[in-house]
Amino acid sequence: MHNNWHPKLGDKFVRRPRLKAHPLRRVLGIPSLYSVGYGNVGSSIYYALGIIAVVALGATPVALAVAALFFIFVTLTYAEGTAMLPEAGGSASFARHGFGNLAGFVSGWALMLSYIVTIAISAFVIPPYLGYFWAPLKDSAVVGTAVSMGIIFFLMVINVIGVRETSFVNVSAAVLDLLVQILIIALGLLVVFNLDKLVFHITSDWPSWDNLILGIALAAIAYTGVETMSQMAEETKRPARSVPRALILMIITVLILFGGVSGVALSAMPAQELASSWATDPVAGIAHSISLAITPEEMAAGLSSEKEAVIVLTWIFTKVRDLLPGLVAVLAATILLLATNAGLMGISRLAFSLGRHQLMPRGLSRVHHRFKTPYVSIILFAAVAVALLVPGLFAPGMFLELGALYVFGSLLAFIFAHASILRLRITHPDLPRPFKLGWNIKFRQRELPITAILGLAGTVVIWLVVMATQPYGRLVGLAWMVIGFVIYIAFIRRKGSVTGGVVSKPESFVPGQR
Amino acid sequence: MELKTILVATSGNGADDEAVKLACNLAKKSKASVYVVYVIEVNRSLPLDAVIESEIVRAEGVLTRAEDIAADRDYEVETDLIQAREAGPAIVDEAMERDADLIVMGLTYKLRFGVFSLGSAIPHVLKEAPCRVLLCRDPVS
Repeated sequence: MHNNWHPKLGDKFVRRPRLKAHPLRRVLGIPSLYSVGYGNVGSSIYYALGIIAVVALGATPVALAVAALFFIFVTLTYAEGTAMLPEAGGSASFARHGFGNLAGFVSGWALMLSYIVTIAISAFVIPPYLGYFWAPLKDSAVVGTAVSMGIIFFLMVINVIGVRETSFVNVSAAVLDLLVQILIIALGLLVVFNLDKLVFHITSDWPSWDNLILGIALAAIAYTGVETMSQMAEETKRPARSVPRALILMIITVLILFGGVSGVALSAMPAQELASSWATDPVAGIAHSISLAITPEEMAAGLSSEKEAVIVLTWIFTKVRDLLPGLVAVLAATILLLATNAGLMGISRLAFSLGRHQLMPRGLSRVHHRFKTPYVSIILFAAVAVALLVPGLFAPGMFLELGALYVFGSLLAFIFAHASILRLRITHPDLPRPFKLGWNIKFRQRELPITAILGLAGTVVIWLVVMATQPYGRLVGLAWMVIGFVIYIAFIRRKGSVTGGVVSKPESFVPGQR
Repeated sequence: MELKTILVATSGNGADDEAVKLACNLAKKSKASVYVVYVIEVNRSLPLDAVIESEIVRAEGVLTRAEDIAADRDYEVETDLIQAREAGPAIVDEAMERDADLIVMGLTYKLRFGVFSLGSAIPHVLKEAPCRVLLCRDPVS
């Protein structure tokens, strides 16, 4: 295994080819991958429900259901792409292979925006959840936003220092997340669910068409963590098989749980209340309503007629009623804290990956000599996330704007993902595709998956709706893309290797080499 | 105990030398193969295949030293450098892949908050490894 290795002049040290022969130890299986992915997607319900309700009002479950269709298309596209190209980078990687370096950069830069907003928005909604314990955290925009900024600063410091987060923490977070949502749905179905009430709340607060369409666009926020799972492909054992399975498993879980939570939410309270009092902490609102609806003695008597059993059940229901809101507040804050941290780690990994492919200045990939962490990108992107929160000090409605910005970045990345998968079907039809999408149409003797075509069309429309209706998202989003483009051009010029954007064949495009 | 394959997991601590010597001595009797691995733990804020030069230099030094120690005993060992998120699962996985009969690990006497600590990798290997595990602890200095 050492035959092809020769030391080069100027090598600072003699590196035997051990690393090349055996570079990575992939240890993630389907359960771990699913945990990481669900931990990310699942946490979005803690804020997405409120954002959607502000716009879509009673039609919140409908907006979530329509957006879910596009989520399925996106997930299927990622399943084919990741199985074909199991490397870190997600849609940036697909775009680089499909359209060249410029597209790879644009997609990666858009993804970075969505990661930064993930950090900002997840941190932004932690204080409202903790407002159960100290009201100013929820009621005061200044206190809440300042605490959010403090949280990002704290996470920035521990990520620069490199405090290790074990896979146990990731798996625990996902399990916790699942349990909280299942608990909410189960208690909600038991205590507050009423089909007539649900239909009444949906129909009485039905939004205008404009708002419904915008609600569907914003509902994409609930499903955008799919990228994370793709990013983990290079750490996964047999990624060609594991990633599609984990992705499909995640779709099923997310659809069931998000459907359940939104149904329970609108059974528990009118849409107007969800969109006002509980906009930033909707799950806390559900827990509060469930808690109010629990009548321990009545419920215990309904379940058993034996006196001893009634006493025990009454005690259990009383404890659940008293503890549920506080428990949900703590668990939601914990899950959101981990999601904020995942965003910070995700963006530094992505920046490093783009730097490695020479799509970004190497300074961003600089690793701290002592802590062995990419401290430049961690500090820079945490600072940008904090800057995005500054308007929140003065405007409580900032929450919706952040959601729109999130959708701007992530949908742009999804557009590239769909387009790249379609393009690779045309330019590289014989590429091994361990997971190949079905339902294809023939175009010039090439098979094009209908789900990717519909996904591309739908995502473009939703992205345009957000662009047209959300001034903050449009301005900040476009400014971000322009800044990125300038950095890219300056960087490429400095390298002296402008290629016109499209590379003929990216160097790492050898399927199965990993 | 019949040994065909011994895996030595090094970590750059002072106990690695003794672990390699012990593995070579045990291997000689049954002419077993000895693999020495070093795991670079990559922080989650970096991609798994990030090249961290300072870590690689350190790892190469540890593995080269292991080769030299084995050579002094007229034994040839195969070395490998692995990048992983956590050392424990990587060592267990490596042992399974190489079908190792024994994992040898060295550790120093280390106190953490005043209490003796095995770190995180050793307990994982002790719990999860399918084969025998031999720990070689340095004397208390």
